Amino acid sequence: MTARRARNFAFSGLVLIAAMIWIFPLYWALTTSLRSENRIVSDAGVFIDELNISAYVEVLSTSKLPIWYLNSVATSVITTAIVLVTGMMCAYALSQLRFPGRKTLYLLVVASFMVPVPALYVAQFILMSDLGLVNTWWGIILPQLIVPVVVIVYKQFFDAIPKEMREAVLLDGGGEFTLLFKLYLPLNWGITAALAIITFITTWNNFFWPFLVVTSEDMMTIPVGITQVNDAFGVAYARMMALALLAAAPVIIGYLIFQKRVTEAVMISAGVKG
Amino acid sequence: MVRWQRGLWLFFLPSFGLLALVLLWPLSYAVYLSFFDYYLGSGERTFIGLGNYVDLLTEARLWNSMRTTIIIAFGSVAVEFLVGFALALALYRLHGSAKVFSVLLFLPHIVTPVVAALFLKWMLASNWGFVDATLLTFNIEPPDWLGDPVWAKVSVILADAWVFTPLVMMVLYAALQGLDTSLLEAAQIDGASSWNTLRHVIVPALIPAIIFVISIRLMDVFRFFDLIYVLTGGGPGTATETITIYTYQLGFRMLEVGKASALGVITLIVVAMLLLTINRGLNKAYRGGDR
Repeated sequence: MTARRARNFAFSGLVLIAAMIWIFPLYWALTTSLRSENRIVSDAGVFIDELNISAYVEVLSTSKLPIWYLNSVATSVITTAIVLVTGMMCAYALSQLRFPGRKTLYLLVVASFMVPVPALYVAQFILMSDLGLVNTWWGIILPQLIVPVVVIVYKQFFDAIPKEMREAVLLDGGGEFTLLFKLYLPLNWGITAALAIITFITTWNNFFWPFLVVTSEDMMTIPVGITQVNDAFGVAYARMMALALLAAAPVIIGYLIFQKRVTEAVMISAGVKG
Repeated sequence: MVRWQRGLWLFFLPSFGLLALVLLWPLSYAVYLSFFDYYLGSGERTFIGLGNYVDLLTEARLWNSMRTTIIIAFGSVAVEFLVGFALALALYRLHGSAKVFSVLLFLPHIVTPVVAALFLKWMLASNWGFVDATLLTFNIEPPDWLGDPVWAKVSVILADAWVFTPLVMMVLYAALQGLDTSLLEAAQIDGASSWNTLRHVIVPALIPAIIFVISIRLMDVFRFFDLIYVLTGGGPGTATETITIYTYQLGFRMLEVGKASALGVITLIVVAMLLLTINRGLNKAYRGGDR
């Protein structure tokens, strides 16, 4: 029993130390953001010893952070909504309807999951510019609408629903759309929430594509915006960290509140069935 | 029995319409462009056949970026796997409240990658950064973390590990929880040591999950851009230039659209081959598990 307790203690220590190492850069960014700019380069105490919010005030008043927030929220919400609805419909047809070529279409979905999309960004950019969508919300949104994992996960969950239930709805005279939105969707609210969370976080965090398709400061999303002012600030680390923390705040707070759901969602998208 | 349902196409139209527009069309367009000498904005395209491919495959920069991609991929995956597995085992063995700390461990994986990169850039900043300041108090002369070709690679690998070890940990932890406990009990009754149990019972049972998590991480390296772009921009020189960064440089900096498209096509082929290899390995592992 004591040996077991000692081992448990050792494992706890390992996890604790790892957690501290992993969290430290975040903690350090917070500490830095709460100091005055000239103290950062003179002495570096490890503890939060100053609650100076001037960096936050300055960042909020001088940068275009509020506009970037708006752009990020709008593009992430629209992307999430479209991805879920189209993915759900596609998955429903693949799961419940019988027709020739079904397997081929499903393989196409799985294959598109494997494509390293950045390899195609040049061609996508030319397409967006031909469509006149450079520097617009839709230019940011469109290429992010392909999320095959949503289709794959929904299909797995739809497959698991007993056929008797659909027969009952069909007898009542319901059509396929009724079936999807009155039966299959309500039975899968949990997974829908998880997929919504992961799609939202992914879109919110996405940098590469918005960085390419947006050049105007007023259309930037948060990740793009903060890398642009990075250079403008020079060595103003307090402001830089304040800005970075404000940029990540919604995701961090959302994670801390819905911690279990978010972890679950990330795991599902990594291909592990929840 | 083939039964055509009315309105079937309505279910497919949105997603496959989008797929065709933003994936299949750019894909074919990239293949088409890869045969042309074409600078963005010049409006002039000259058909040069396989010229772009020959150019790319004969120049050192492509091979350098391939090598860098491989070094960063294997370096970071190795760190992520070793640390992630150790932590997953520790979590699995823990019955106490320390599991709460896994919440904190997972946080860096959720944070916006660009933000994570900025945090690390500040940690590694010369002189005033936390790492340098700490080393200097012990009178250790710190290396130039992001400016030295070798240390820059190390920094990028550690940055990648910081963001993705939590994911590896959670996937392996989930796999451990799905483990058949009767096997572990049997090993314990037989008096097997912890190490032997790990080697002969736990690891073999986890092989599918291990191959799975390593392969998704390897695939990600071909998409990954944010961390490297913010930390080093591919530099110093081309020391941390992966294939993705090189494609970006070609297409969006040098505006050599044709050549960048050819590089995109090469990337797709490399990834397809990698996937086939992994798939074969996975099949073998599953069959091995049956024994």
